[in-house]
Amino acid sequence: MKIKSREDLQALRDKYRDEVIMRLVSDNFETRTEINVGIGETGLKTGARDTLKTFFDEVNLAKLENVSVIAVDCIDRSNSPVVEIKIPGKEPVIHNKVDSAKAKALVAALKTEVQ
Amino acid sequence: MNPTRLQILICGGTGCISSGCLDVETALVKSLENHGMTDEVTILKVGCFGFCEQGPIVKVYPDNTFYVRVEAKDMEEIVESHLLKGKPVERLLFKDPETSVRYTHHRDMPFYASQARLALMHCGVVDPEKITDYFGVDGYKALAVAVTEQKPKDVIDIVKDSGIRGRGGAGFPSGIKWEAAYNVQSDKKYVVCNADEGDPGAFMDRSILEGDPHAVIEAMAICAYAIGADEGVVYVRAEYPLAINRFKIACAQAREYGLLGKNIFGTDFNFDITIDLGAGAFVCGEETALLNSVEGQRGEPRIKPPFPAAVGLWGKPTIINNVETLVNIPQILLKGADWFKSFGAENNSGTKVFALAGKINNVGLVEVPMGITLRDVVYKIGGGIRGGKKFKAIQTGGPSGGCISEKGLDTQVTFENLQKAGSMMGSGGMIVMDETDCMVDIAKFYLEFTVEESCGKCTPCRVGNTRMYEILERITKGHGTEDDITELRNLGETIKATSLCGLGNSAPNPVLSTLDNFMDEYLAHVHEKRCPSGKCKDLVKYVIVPEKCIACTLCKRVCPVDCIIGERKVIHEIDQERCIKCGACVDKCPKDAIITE
Ligand SMILES: Cc1cc2nc3c(=O)[nH]c(=O)nc-3n(C[C@H](O)[C@H](O)[C@H](O)COP(=O)(O)O)c2cc1C
Ligand code: SF4
Ligand code: SF4
Ligand code: SF4
Repeated sequence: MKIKSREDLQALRDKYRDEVIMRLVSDNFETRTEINVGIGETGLKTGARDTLKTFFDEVNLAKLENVSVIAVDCIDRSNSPVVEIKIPGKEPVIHNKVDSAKAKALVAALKTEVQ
Repeated sequence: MNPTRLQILICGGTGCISSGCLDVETALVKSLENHGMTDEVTILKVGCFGFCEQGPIVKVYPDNTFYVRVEAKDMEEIVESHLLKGKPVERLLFKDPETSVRYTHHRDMPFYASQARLALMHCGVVDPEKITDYFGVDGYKALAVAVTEQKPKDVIDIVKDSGIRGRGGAGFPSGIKWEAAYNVQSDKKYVVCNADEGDPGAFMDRSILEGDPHAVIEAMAICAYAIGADEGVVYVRAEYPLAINRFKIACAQAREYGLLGKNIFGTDFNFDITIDLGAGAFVCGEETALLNSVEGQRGEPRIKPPFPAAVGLWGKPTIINNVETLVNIPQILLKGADWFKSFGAENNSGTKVFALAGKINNVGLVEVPMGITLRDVVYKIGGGIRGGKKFKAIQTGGPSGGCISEKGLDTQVTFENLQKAGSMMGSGGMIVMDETDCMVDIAKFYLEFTVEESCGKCTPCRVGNTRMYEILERITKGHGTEDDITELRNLGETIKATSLCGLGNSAPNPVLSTLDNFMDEYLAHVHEKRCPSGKCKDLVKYVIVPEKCIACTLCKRVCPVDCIIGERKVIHEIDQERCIKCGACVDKCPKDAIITE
């Protein structure tokens, strides 16, 4: 495909941005928002991987460029899946027993907060 | 393609390929299959991360975990523990050799903390073999804006305003050079990218071509648009197969998208690039010798003026820029001259990439803001001298740069300051020497290189440098006189003043700077016939300390020329006349009674 205009290029940029954005923002870890999902042994049993996937898909869908979804070791075994949301300059907030539905709601809430 | 939850970058620069990153990749693919995680992970091979000594390096995104010295057998643990269960593998994180602190994020590591990545911005971030990655980081946008919205003169003004100066060594302001070529009327003009990288220790240009080839293509196209050229040549040394290959792939992709070729962005701007392989002579990196070489003539420098901007390739106006200079251009246009000027020092905006090597803890490719002190480079980034030894000198500027001593450590790195300190910016080699290095020997070593690489066209360089080399040879063999030292200085200054090209002009630097900064070492060689660091073999003397000797005869038995005098109960002695300085006796002595002086 030949690029014939600035708009053509912009379209390609938007199309492929998703693939590199993770690498770009990960280096700005002081300014990015982190969603840390505990997926250790307990997390794996309590469906944390589904939670993780939902977070990832939702964040992408919402095009929240400066938000990273990170899988970490279990945060609190008795309330798994546990998710910690860290917005720069704010106290990290812990959310217990986060299933996919709750994950969706959290991303929706985040959308207004980080944009 | 949908992005995956995890992206894993494996350093795929020349340095890491030689330390086994291909096996690492194979092992990773296999472990992912075993755990059914193939779909969750994208594997990317990127350019150099710079910390080559710690390679192969594996970086996990989005966590930003930076694993060092990874071997194929480590991959299963990384997949099982980290990727599957969210628990990073502690033992593969970088451990500071001095403080034993382990670092998860590379940005916190002292090696990276003082760096500023402009030229290497995309190295280790984009996949160099995917133009789509480059699109994702706003690649080719600067070119798009330039050709569709800006006049050539606007582009030149931004480059001029940014203050960027040539990174190939001379530090000439790029915008002014472009303007000169723009002002010449001609039916044909050329853009040449100098990727000869003749300095044996330097590898920044190679790393950029391997890690971010599209930025170089974009920059060349921008330059072509600005000066009115339609043809580009990349002159790259043949010993860089990976860089050449990646650059070729990048050109092919750019052509496919119409970013090289005719009517770029639907305008009447045409531009394409060819690759020319240099045979590797050091002098062919000099711009006019390079032009001769591209034209198929002998790689000898031409007399300047006229400068290439007026009379260059095939007699036509030509801009020659270094790879590192060029790679900065798209970002300058995207982010503005003021952004670029916010890095660096007065009249020295931006950053410079250095290949840090020698007797320091952290070696590798580093990019620092201009104006940083040599001390910070050595101690903060380089992590200090290896093995707790004492710093002696730092040599900057490649084989014909000068050696700066302890008292020059607070020099802020700028084109002018390095020159004032008797050295130069050059291509960006930085080699650190410790107390065990003999500065006379070091000067000889560098001069040997330049003598070998002189093209022989002019007498001062051909004959003068050889003469200097012979004198150094004499001094290190213990036959030097005080007149020799005077002669070295006179010759050096004459050669600098009368040689045709930069090779001859700068070849005496290692000698002159060591004369300035380490005269005591020269005098010890000349007056006392002594090499203070024990490097010059001919000046070393092996002696037995009588108080320590227990007359065990062990040394006597091992001496190949039988020059140790003594027997049981008689303290031993070495006959200096006959000793061939092989050192065999030293290793044998149980009492460490044999020393060198
Ligand atoms: C002996 C000698 C070797 C040189 N080698 C190189 C080289 O390998 N790469 C390079 O870019 N410039 C080299 N130069 C500098 C070039 O002549 C020229 O100044 C430079 O390519 C211009 O580009 P810049 O303005 O972007 O630095 C060398 C100069 C001399 C005198
Ligand atoms: S200074 Fe040396 S390398 Fe340069 S033209 Fe003269 S002889 Fe050749
Ligand atoms: S240095 Fe070698 S030659 Fe000299 S005394 Fe020792 S063993 Fe003999
Ligand atoms: S080996 Fe050492 S201790 Fe023994 S005789 Fe030689 S110098 Fe003396």
